[in-house]
Amino acid sequence: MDRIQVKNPLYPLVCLGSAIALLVGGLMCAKQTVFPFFVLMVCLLYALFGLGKVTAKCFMVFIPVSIVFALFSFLLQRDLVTAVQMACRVLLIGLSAVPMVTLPAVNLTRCLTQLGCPRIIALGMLIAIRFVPVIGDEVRRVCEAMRTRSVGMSVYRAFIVPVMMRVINISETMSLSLETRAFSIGDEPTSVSERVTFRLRDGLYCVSCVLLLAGLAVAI
Amino acid sequence: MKNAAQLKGYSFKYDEAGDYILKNCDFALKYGELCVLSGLSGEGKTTLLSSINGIIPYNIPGVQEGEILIDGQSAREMHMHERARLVGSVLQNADSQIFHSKVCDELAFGCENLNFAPGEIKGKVAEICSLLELSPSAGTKVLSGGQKQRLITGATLAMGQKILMLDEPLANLDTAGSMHLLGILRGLVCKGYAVLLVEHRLDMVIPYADRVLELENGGLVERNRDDLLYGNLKRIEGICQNRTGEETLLSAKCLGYRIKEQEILRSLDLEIFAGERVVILGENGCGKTTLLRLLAGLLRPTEGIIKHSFGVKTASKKWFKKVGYVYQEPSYQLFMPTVAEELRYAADDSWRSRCLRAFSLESLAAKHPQSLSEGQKRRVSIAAVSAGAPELLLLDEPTVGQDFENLENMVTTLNKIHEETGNTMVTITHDYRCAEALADRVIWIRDGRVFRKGDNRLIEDYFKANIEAR
Repeated sequence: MDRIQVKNPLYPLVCLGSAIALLVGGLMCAKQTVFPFFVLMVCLLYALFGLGKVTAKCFMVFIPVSIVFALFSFLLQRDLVTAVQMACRVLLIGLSAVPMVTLPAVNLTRCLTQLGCPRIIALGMLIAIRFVPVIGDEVRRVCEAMRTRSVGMSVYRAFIVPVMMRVINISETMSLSLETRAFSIGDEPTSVSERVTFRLRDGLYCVSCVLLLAGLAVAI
Repeated sequence: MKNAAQLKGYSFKYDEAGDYILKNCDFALKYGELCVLSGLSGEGKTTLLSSINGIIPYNIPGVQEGEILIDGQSAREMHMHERARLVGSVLQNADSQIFHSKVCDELAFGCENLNFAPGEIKGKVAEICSLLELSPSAGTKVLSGGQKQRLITGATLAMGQKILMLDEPLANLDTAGSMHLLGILRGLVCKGYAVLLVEHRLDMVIPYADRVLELENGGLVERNRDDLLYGNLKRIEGICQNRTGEETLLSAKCLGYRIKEQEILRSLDLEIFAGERVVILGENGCGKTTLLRLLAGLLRPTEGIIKHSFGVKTASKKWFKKVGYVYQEPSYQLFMPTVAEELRYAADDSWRSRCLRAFSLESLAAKHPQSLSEGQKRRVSIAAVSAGAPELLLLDEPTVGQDFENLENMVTTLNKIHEETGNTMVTITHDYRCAEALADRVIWIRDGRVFRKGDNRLIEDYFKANIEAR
């Protein structure tokens, strides 16, 4: 996750809102000829707001995935147009998620805390976001440890047991660590060490998104 | 004057256990006192700490008897987060406790929960970073094991509670780092803090302690500080003849490894000879584990090459029959339902029984490896990898979490296996007591480079320099 974060992320709620809006807008035009222009404009928008590199990385992951989906679709339905549309939809999911994946989890937590969101939800989101790369790392380390003990993938327990134990241990230790660091789900007052603020750049991004979606609505 | 923490006739047993693990414990920790709690692995030290900070009974249920007082108040009705406002806890496994991707955010987290003002939090973060030599903007993912340990300890110190409970805070810390942390704790004690420290490295902690308690058969016994210090200052005697090999087993030329812009190893040249025992020394974060992982074929160098004479493809299944690697974190390598089967997976029956005996695991043979204490798990993982009789045995901090008796036993066993099989052993350790007993040759790493190489007399120089650097 750290590898795809940017130096200057957008305001968390703007990221969340734009991800949803662009996904919905994109799905509406996924069957239309205007779709490639929409994708191009979204990429341009991202590049203008410093998300270009992440968009490129996202394409590197999602283009192969969308091709696989398109192939499956073609094999099942024998229809090239449907397969292309399937690929577009998969690509769109990745593309619309770009602002969210560039967002440091702590910014989202702090933003939600500032807005008075219950701490359990804010922290829950932090841990959920944190847990995705943790599980990825654990799976990688367990596979590596299996190799060091000359165990093949056929010995399923050599994978399942350590992964399960590690995930259980980590989640247990995390929850204990939360409580020993005075986290509570009650109404004890908390503070935010660095406020996450809505800036002019975030406003410009919002306006650009609205204009893009308005243009799309006119086009279709 | 009220005590910081007090146990009155306290007993505890886990729900599923037949017998009490803590029996009728009486103990008072005063403000302005640093107390060390010692005892064998699995004796109940963490259980005692958990009973005070509220992990027991709120997260781990069981049967409690007697009374616990925290800052003079009965803890029975105090929930864990309420106790956390009075008691700062450093738990084991620093790696699993990090929530944030940046050091400054991690340090600020507890302070935010305690509703400190933003300015105060910034001040605390800056203070702790300078005290524990952490960079506030550093990513938490690229920290070494020792740096993560410092970070988690710092996150607790930042919260400012006057009662501190630390569970093996020196795990993975080098000598200088350990002394530095103990010095900080001693300073806090002088300011009126109360510190309860669970630690196996008694040689390190006793000079800083006011009192030493030992858990023995569930009961707390006060020990004479000086007697214990004398017993634990001993260096373990090596039983092997020092050898210098001639045939090169592994050689690295201009070895480099970097993660993004961070250079971890640079232009490193070294040779490992067949049949020798090498100890790698170096401060936290200098690249020791990365070097060991490169030698094991688990990482690919970003610069330079590693040559070997095993005659098999690096990192293949056959390679790992010849190269045994023991992880810093043992849970990754344990997967069988019992300790005995864990060893049987790698060795025939005669080797298995010998390893069980040699690593003092006979009484644990029928237990699930993942249900053991961290120190016991570490012994099982070393025994399981050693049981495969690899030609090259790579050990990443094998001595963490071992009491002196088990440490001595483990070192002797590793040396006996070395004598019998003629294997090559490469060990990373921060433990002064056993480094010499495990070394024919020493490689001292500093800032990602080989700083010095030599015979085991270099160990003395390293630890001296490490301490003087402070």
